[in-house]
Amino acid sequence: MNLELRSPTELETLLEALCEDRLAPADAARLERMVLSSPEARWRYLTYMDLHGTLFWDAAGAGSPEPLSSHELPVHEWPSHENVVIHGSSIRDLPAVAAGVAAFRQPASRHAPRPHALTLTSISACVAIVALVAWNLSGPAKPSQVVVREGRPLPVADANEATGDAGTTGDAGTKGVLRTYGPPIVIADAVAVETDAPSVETDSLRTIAGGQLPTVIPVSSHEVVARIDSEIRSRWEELGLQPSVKADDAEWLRRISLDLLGRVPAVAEAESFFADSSADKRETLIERLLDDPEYVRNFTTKWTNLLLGRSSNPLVNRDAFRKFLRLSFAANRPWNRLVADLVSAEGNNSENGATNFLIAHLNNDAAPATAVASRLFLARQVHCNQCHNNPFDETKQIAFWELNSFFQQTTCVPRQRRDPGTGRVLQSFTELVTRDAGGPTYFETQTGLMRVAYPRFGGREIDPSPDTNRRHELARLMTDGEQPQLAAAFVNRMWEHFLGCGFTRDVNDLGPHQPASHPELLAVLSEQFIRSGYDIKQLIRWICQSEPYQLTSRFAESNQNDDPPLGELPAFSRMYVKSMTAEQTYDSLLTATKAHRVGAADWMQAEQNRQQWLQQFIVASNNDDNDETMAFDGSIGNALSLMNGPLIERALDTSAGSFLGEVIRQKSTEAEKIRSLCLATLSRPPSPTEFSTMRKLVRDGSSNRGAKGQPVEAYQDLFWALLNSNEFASIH
Amino acid sequence: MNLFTSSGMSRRHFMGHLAASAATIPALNFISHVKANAAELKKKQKACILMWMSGGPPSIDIWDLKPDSKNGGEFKPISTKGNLQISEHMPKTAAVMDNLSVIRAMSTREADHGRGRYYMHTSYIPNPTVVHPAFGSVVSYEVGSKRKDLEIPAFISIGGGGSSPGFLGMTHSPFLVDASGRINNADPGDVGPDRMEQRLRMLGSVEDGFIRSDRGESGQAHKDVYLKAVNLMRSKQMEAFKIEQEKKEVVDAYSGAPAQGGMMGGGGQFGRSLLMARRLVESGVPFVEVDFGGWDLHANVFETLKNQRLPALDAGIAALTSDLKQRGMLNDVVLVWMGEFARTPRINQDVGRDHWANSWSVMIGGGGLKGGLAIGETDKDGLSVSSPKSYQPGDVWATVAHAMGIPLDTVHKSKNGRPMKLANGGTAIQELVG
Repeated sequence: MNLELRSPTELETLLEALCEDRLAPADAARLERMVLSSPEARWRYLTYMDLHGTLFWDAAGAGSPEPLSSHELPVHEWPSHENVVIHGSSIRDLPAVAAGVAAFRQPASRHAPRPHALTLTSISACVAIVALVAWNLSGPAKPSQVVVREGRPLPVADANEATGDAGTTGDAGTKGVLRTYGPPIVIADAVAVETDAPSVETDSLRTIAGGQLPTVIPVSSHEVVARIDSEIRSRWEELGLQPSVKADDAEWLRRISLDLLGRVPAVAEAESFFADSSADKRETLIERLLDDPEYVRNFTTKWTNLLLGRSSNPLVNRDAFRKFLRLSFAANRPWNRLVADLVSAEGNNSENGATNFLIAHLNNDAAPATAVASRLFLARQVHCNQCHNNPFDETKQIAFWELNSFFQQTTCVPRQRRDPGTGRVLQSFTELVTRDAGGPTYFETQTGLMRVAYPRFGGREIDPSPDTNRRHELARLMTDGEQPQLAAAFVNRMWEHFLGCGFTRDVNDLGPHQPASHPELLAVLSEQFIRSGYDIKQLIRWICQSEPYQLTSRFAESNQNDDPPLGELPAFSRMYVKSMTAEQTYDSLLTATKAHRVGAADWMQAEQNRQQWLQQFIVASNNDDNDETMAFDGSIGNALSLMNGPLIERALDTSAGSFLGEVIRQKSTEAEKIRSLCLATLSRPPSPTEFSTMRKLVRDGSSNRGAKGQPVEAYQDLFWALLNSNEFASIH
Repeated sequence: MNLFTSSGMSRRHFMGHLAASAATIPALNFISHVKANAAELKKKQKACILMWMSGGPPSIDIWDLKPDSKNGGEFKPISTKGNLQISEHMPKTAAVMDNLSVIRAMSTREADHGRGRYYMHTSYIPNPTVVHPAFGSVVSYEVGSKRKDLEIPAFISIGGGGSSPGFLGMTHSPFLVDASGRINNADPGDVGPDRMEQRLRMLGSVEDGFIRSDRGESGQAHKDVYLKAVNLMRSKQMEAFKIEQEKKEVVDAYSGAPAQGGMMGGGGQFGRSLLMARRLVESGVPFVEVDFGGWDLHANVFETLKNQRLPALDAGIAALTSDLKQRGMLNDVVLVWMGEFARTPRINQDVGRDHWANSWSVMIGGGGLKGGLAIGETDKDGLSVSSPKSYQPGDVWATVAHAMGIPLDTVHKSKNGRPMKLANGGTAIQELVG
């Protein structure tokens, strides 16, 4: 009996039903009993009703005589301040909230995103750059002045205050606004400053996240793994279920290769693993794969997609970002430091790749940056708090804007490096700049009141003056020392990566309203992760050595209901089947078929082919929230691509260098050929029944034969079937 | 407490359901038998075309003008062939307005793009424990599955980003195409029918083995999707995507102007998409969504509407309505026009309108619903619904369900066993169906 775990969900479910007017009488009685039973439940009831009442009447505007627009703020009644400098036309009287405090952003409201965000969605990169320049109109404010950002791009004629940075122009400058109030950033000459050293080792950052790591108390890997196993087992006992049996070598090898390297094992890797008879061969393999460059590539792909999204953005240098992640994962940089790097990055985005994370999300008043950082690093869903308090979570609307306030000194500027002699453009890049501006961030409550938020994180407020570098402070507050939330968010996400399901339904959300399947285990793992010094590889070792990771994905007699897709919390009594991502599919297809050898493309070409293939599945939403859809989702369109697309055509090529061609031409029996094709795709030999079916199909198949009489087309067809199968598409 | 007993539905039960739906995929000989009468039958088949205005359209400038209010903006209302007035920039639509009605009393609660999109598509507000199906997926499940002669997907989305089929499963997800109508990878190239048959036999053998290995539902779901993909590849109904088969005058009418630079060039993407939608509906597809974006007009709303959005919208709606009527299909095809929300009555400093969900309009017509009506009204400044009843997306979809003959008491079960009423229990709008 675990009432604590169940109650919030049930209460929420009932409240939701109540609000949606579909509460049955029995449920109403149950709700009444629950609400009357505890003060906590009463409080939840009140806050829920308050919020949804407010949302329904107020958010939609029914309760207020005027629409909720940032342009209709009650600020007109406030006294104006003599030092106010306005670069705009319609907000005349924005107050200085405190003398000597520089405000640097316009009040925000979800109902009034900036025009720049709208413009940014234009398909034209050119327009986007103009808009961003316009958006960066306000440079560092002089202390004691309030600078209000102008939301609408001004005509060029208006821009005579532009400082006209020598040697630095936006490439669309002639068509639109180019006005910065910042000091000219002059890049004197074209000396390449590209360096291979990771930017992460700069001094400023060492002081941010390097300072106070908790004392590392070595706990043996064995002890942590034993603890995982005992927590998982005790839950099985509570639920009265027996786990599935251990996965055989083939199932496990395929799984760990996909989870760690992002691809199926090659035939030779499979053969050598099967042949190894040592008792600790799984542990040995985990170590070997963690040292494999493909491990770095796989996690770089995963985190690039999470941190930048998959859609392209003309301001973002994706390659530089990948390089930053590659170096970090290769050096096994502690997770907290990596996060600090991302949060506090500055400068040229092709030299300091980490800057691209914020460059990708600074639009729309840095609301995406706030939401994405909170979601990925802390597993807190704050995007709703942008507009209202969250009824299930102690976080309030102000918390969103307090976090947002840390990003308000930051701006990004498109720049070009020119050859001083010829004036030729040598490099275009984006610079992430911190302006020495200070003061509060304005936001609007549901009732239309303007409020201010100061930079504050985890209950700690920082000096809001322009002298403070807010993102350095945020990096310190978020990542320095013991950070249970930072650790738990990462642990939960990694657990999901390997086990197919996190401890909570949504790995992006560890809020108090989300019941966790194994709260104790999550806490223990987070603590150990902190004690290890946020050691990513160490965490992976623990998870991959644990008992649940060794189990088969087949159901057993007594765990038939352990199936999270049906809405249950996971018990991890079997491995849950994951679908390959688009990247895993592509990389696995190449591993299995050596299709990349066909036509002998170079590495750059290969990477381009990969991106091009992936791009067909990405659909960006044209709005200001940076949403996108990854349409590699098991739909009919995906099936068609894998059945008939150019990639599969290359995969079935039998010319020199191709896997299939080699198998067909090598001196081997029919049985050996069929076995090779199965190993390459399913990472296992065929069962005797499967083998006889396949052999029959190959023999009955096409009569089109190769030079030595081999049934080439029949093998191609078998290979096609294996590559298109549900088993190939699954990580099980 | 055993966490697993709360589910009213076992995994076996669910798999049984999947197997049943797989069995409804027809055998080839059955298709050819039905085909004989198909052309005439299809004309009478019910369908819905959703015109999705991605970004949130300002309905106050299109369907519910307020010329006497400071919120009214630059546009004037004009009379129509129906019993209501609409924007002066919709003259062609005004001429067919006796077939179309406007629900002027929408009051929805989501003014965020993602949440509004979800709410308007599914009738449910987003909830972390369950993914609700878009109404197109519901139609695919309820109507599409019963059309034995339909070989292409029952829910087709043109030019949009798609939506989730939720607990109804991937076979009911929207099939995405762009306005060109080119279907990528549907052609097996040099692989002839016999060889494809051989491949599919091998595939079936491998897939069945994995399904039998008992690892959850995903194996069967994969197989179901492949069956649909194969049906599509082989289908003559793929012709429906080829709008180049239409006469130039027809394309021009839908696009609002002679197409620039050849038929596929220039503007008129919305019109071409609607034309494709009509062809798809003729082929028996019961739900087509046409995405028309560019409505997130935080700035410069009137210029953009007047010069870009409304001419295309006007031509498209008018051409589709007349075309369906001429073909005797308008009584069977419901037209719905909506976005994730509408835009603030108040005009902001950038001569734009911001997000607004409290009081707005949705256009609906065809399908035997009454045309030429304005349902409900907003107050003089457009700030709230002033008629006694306001409407939710569930009411719109219930009206569509009524028109399409889907029983309103249909209940689906989510994977965790929760009963979900069709259109979230919305009711059909009496004035339209009565």
